Amino acid sequence: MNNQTTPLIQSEFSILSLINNLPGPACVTDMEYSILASNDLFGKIFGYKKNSLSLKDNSNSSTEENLLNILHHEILTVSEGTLSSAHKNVRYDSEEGDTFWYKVHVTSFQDEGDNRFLFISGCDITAQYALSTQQNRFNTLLEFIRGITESHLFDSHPEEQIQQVISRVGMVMKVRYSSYLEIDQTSPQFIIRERCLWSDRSGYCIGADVDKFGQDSVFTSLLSDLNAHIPIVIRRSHAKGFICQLLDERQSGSLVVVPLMQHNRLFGILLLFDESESRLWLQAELTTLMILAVELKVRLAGRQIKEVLVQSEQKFQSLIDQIGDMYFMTDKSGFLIRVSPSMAKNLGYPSVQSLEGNPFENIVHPPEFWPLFLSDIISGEGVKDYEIQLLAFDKRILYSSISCRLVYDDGGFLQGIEGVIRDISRRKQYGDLLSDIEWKLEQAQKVAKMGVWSYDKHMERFGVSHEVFSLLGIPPDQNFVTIDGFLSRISSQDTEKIVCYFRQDMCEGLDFDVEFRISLEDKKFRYLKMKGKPLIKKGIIQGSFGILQDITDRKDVENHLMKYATELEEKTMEIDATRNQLLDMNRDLDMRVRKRTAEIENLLKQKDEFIQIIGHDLKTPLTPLVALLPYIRKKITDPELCTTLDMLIEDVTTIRKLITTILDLAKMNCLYVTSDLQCIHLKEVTDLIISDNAYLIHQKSLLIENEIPDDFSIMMSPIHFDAVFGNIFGNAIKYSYINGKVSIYGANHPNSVIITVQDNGIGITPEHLPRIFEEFYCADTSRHDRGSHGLGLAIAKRIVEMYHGTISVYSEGLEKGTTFSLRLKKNPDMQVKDGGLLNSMHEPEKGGENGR
Amino acid sequence: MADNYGNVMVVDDDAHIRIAVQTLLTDAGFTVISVDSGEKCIELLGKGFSGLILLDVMMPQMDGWDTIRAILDKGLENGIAIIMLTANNAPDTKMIGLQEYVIDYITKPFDAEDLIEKSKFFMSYIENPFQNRNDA
Repeated sequence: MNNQTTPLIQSEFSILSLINNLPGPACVTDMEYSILASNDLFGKIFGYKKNSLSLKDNSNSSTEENLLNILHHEILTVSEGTLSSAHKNVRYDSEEGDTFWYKVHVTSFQDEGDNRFLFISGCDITAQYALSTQQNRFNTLLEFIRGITESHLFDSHPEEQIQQVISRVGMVMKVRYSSYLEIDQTSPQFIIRERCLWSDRSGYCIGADVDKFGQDSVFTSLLSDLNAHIPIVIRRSHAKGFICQLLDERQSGSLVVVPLMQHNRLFGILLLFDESESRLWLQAELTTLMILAVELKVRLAGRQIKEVLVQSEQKFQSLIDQIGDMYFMTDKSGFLIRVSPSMAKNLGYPSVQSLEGNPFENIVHPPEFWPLFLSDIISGEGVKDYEIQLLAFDKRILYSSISCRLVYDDGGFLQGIEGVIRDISRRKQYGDLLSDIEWKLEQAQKVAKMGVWSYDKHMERFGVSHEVFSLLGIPPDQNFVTIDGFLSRISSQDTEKIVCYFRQDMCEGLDFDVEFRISLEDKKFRYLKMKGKPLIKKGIIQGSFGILQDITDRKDVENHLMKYATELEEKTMEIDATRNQLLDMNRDLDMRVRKRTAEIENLLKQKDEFIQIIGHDLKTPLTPLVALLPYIRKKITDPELCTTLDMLIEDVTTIRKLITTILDLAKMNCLYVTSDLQCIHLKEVTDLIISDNAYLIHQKSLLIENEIPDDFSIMMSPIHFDAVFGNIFGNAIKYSYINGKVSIYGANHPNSVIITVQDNGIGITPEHLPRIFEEFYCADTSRHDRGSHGLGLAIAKRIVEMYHGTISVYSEGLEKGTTFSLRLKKNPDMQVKDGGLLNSMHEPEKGGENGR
Repeated sequence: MADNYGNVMVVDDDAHIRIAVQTLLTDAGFTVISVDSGEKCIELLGKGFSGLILLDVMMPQMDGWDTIRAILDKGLENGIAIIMLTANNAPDTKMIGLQEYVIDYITKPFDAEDLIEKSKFFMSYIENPFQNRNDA
């Protein structure tokens, strides 16, 4: 400091107090930029140390520039005297992270000693600055809206449009995220989708799952506001639920929600996420955003309409291409300016272009028809289903139906004719065919004496074919018959029947089939058959239709047939009567035969009984002879007497044999009556029969094994079983050797039991085996001992067969033993008892019983 | 008589058969008593007869089976064995239920050896064929 500074020093107090009292930073320097005085704020804001001497020796921490550099232009201007004062907005970032803006003024002043000083002071304009920035943004936004409305942005793909708008809005509004939510309210449940998300740092992002918005109560409470076109600002501290979560996810402090409405329905939302919670959202900004939303909506809707239009045009085109109808358009002079490919194809032109440009007149056939056709079009402003012949490229004639109209422009001037042509050559063919068939049918009806009719319920009259008139006998001078006219022709006896059919069946929609008569002269009738079906159109009974046929000839034949049938029936009845007589006679005869048979049976029985008695009576006196004669023979010694006695013994033996045979034959007959069926417990009964033969068993010292299981049983007469088993077992004993063995087994089969009697006795030779069951057959003489007459096995076999059983024999030959097998139906109770154990041998628990 | 095989009672309505049986069996060494009806047989049993009974099946009034039934009814079946004498070798419906009381059958006409052997054999079935039961 030199003396030049004295005046300032003198007023140091006043300046210092002034500087210290200023709300902003301030300092005073000389023209060499030495700091003469400064306040605390100055150092703090501009980064000067408390005792800094010059503006040059400072280093601003954030800008790394000293104030001289920042304000270089202003200071220079003022110090050179170009301007008395200059200012500049300077940004200051505080250590707390806040940003401040200061308007820094540089002025010069002189003291009394004409020394010049610089006065630098800053004024906090942070708030104003922000305002002006927003103003700027607002302006930019408006500019942007103007831009997008005027630009071709919306010509691009809708997805792209939204992306563009979202990113631009985000950029302009300087927000952290901007996003577009699409809302589908058509379904009962809100469907919300984040269609587009833009971030200031990373550009387009993948949208979040915002489905939860739909269920978020905070969001739904906002809906009424949104529906009323009101944009909403949500701040972090007031946010709740999903919105709060979303704000956290996107590190944002506040959120602006701008609704997009169409037809009073929310269809989209613009979301702007700002970093700071305290950001001031000006009403003007929000309004602008709303304008943007409306613009966006209009654009999107417009775009949709365009798309729909394009689509429907495409559909229309493809429809025309597909249905094969020909589309054409002419200019006002009648030249074809547009034709469908199908038209070119149908008319045989190689391409659409080759047909276009031709006058329509050229393809109308015959050419003279054109003026007529044209006048019809003009008078009727068009034609509908107008049949016309067209001339194809290869001179073919095309039958077609044309529908067209006159086309005018907006100004009402005629533009040309537009229409479609349908190829009806096929229809024409069918039509010709149909009329041909109709003609044939008519002829056929004539031949068959058959007519076709249809009845109109409302008109109460018949539409009939030609043949009906002749059938009804009405002159064919009209093409219908009234119901009264019809009924008047019918024979009075049948009228009621017909009326009934018409009233009921037709009304109820039933088929009917009725025959009636028409009176002719000479009390003759014509028989007619009428068959009908309801005529139903669109579910309503309109009447009925059917055929009418002359069946007089058939009726005649039927009558003849009926006559013959009656005759036939009479004849049949006669035959029946005769047959009944025969049956009666037969029955009588049958009765007599039965009676006779019973008598014979009775006689036979009597005969058998007689023989039995005779036999007994013969046997009784024979017994002493048989028993005593040999005894006497032993006692006497006279040789002559011995010879006589031997002769007597021989005679007695012969008589004995004869009587036994006669009695056995008689016995055979009386055995063959199934009676006295009882349950036979095989084990028990066979044991009894074994013990009955105890004597013989003892005599021969035989070993008898009875291995029939305890539970085997059959249904049989005990006498029969005794006869059969007694015979077989008796034979086994009889033909066993001394010390032989007889085994009896039982086997269980599904419906039967098999009893086997096996001995190891003399056996049977193979040649005898097949005949062993024959009556009076004796295997060989050696077997034929006393009392044996060859009937036993025959009787056994016949008895077994009576019970539908079988008896069989097996032997390997002489001295090889014999085995007899009896198969008998088992007792049903037994079957139940051992149900599952079919085909299994029942092994006895203990050995068989020995003879006593 | 060297041997005595035991008591035999012949029950038959035919006198010739009674004689024939008596002759043969006496000769063979049996003590034979013969009666002409079932009633008399019961009577003798009641008096304590013990031994073999040769019982004819076909008899007037009371036949062989009736006799067995009567024996059973009166409880006289102990100490005896019954052999049926029958002219009929076919099974008889009347015998049903009584077979077990019959020890064997001898069919008329019979051989002397047959009669004697069977009598000897079945005598062994009787506990004490020699004495009157009532004496025991």
